[in-house]
Amino acid sequence: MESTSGDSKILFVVPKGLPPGLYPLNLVNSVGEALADFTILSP
Amino acid sequence: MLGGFCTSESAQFLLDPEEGTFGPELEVVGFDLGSKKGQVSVGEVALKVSEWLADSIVGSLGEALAEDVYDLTVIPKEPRGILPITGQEFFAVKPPEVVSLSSSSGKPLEEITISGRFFGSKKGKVLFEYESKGIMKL
Repeated sequence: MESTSGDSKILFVVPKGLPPGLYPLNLVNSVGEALADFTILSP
Repeated sequence: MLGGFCTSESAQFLLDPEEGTFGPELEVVGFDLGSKKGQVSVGEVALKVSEWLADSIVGSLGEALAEDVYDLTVIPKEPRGILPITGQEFFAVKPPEVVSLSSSSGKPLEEITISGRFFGSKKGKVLFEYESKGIMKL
């Protein structure tokens, strides 16, 4: 995270084991959470 | 008003940045803050001070505060007898914000980058919400 602007990046790996479809994705830290939508595709 | 310029009879300062989350460095810029290391706090939480000079103090919030706007208090050690200086509503603690994903879809084991603001310097969690036997899980 860049201190002055707060600009941030996170890298994650799409999990195995969930059926394909649209999922709410929660990014959580100690202060709160942010939501986004993510679609898991068929392998 | 968030941030601003705070003065007392013998010391003045401003804060950069004026909003953020836990972990990253904050810099108090001013003058007559004294050359001996004193204390700085955001709300009730003391900053971990890494550098204290007469015209700047660098420190970081090692503890997560709840989302809110907090006072900043500087307690210089000198000149002798100086009172604490408090800037009211000086620093806003912000929750994470997602701006974009490198892709809004992906196959299992693909890597996706989330870009945004205020993720913090400690590793958080990325959770998928799903329903199992009628119960929502993360």
